[in-house]
Amino acid sequence: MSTTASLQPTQAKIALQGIRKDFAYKGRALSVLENVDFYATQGEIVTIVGPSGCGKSTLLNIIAGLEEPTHGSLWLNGAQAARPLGQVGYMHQKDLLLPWRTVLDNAALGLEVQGLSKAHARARALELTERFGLKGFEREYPYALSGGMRQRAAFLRSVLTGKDILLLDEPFGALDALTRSQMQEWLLDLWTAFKKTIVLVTHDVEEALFLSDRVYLLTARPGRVKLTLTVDLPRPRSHDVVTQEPFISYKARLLAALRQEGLGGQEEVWR
Amino acid sequence: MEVVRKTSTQREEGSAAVKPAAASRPALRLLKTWAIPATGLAILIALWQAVVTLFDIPAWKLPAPSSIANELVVSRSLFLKHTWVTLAEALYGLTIAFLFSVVVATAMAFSRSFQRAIYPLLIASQTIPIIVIAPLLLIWVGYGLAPKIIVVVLVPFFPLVVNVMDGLRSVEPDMTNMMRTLGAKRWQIFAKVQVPTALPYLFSGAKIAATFSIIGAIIGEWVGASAGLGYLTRSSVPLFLTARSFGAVVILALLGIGLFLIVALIERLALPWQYNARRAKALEEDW
Repeated sequence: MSTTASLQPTQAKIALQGIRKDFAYKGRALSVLENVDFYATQGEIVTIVGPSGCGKSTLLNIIAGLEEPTHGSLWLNGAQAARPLGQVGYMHQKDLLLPWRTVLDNAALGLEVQGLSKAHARARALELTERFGLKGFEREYPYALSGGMRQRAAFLRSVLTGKDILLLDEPFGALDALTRSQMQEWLLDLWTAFKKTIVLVTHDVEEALFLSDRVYLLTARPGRVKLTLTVDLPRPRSHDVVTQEPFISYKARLLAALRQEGLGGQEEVWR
Repeated sequence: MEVVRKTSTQREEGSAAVKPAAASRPALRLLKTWAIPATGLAILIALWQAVVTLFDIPAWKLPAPSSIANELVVSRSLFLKHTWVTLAEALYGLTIAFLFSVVVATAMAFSRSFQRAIYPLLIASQTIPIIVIAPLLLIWVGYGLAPKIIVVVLVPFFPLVVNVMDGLRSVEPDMTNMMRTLGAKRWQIFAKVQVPTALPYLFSGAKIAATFSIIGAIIGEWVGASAGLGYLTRSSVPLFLTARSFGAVVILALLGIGLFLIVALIERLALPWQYNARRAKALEEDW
């Protein structure tokens, strides 16, 4: 099914080869990921979907360097990456803003960690607040912001670190439907402007298709790549595409494949 | 364009939750926080006064609030002298307990083995009544300020250590991972996430410690002293100077409340984000 075999890991922005991940669980090794091959080239948006517990987030954690694979290799920027921590931007479903820092100081956090002075880091963050829809809120604390704004602030923090790879773990999962679709369009605008390579994990098949160049569908645990779907839709995209062909057939294909994974009782997740 | 438009609508939403509410019904809020408890206290004092007058209870048995107030005014220089002693003991002890507990809690948060070694001892130490240790301190370090300060250190030390350690440990793993993906080093995670996370816990501990420090000073004076409000209460009772004893107790209560309020004020100034977040939440609930 996969069309990835032809690409060498040295040519890709991100490549995973034969990734396996076991976790120690009650004295036994529980296999979460098995023989996963994955790649993303410069400037692509690639999405990973799959049933709950299929190891989607573990895959992102491996790319981010938070976890090490049991087997297999990770390639970043064409080279094997031994210690990827700090080399890629990572955004979680929770915004993880520090409640004692203002929006501006939260956004500047990554730059401060990199050793920039506080003033310099703030100045850099300030340049982008308008673009991120945060203008006028720079001095507010996170509790005063809406969910969408908080997520954008977290996003700004990731973008500012200057990493050209961004990992997004269900970034809009906690938002309401309207905010979510606004955020998706906003993300595409931003991606067009900044040309980052984005790996996205989501539960939402529609979101996956709307945003991505390619969708990887993982099986239930242990996660293997069940299906790789290239999304051949013109860009820039607007939400109109979701009610038209070929979006509808893509969606049908993904949903059918997901159902095969035996998702009894989890229908609400797939919509 | 799209982005700008969205922003302006969200600005209204965002601030609507906080600002108009903050301006609303300040009188009601004032009433709730001050007027109601003050009325309760006034009723209690009035009842006390009435009972003493009505049943003609002698002042050496139970002085009326009026005679306690009178004593406070008449013997104010005496009270003042002893208040300074007790306050000094409490503040010295509090400062030492504070610094010491932060160091120990930090070490425990960093090292599991250090925690395992120290924690059971700390808990065990809490089962030994301070009143047992206090007289021993007289044997070890003699009379004077030192044994009182040591007692003051011992009393609030435990709540402080436990609070600060819990605070340092309470950082969500997701938060730590976020910092790691930003490339943060161990000390950066400590300084930028763990310490600020622990601050509200530290202040909770400090508020308890502030009131406990007064109790500690009294215990220290009780077992052997020649000055201080604890000494004054103790020495007044055998002389049937009951109003004086009560006067000292009133000052002690005020000292405890005062220290508590000072810590609360520092907390509010140091953690504006927390105060404002709580306030916004409380106001929303009011509505």
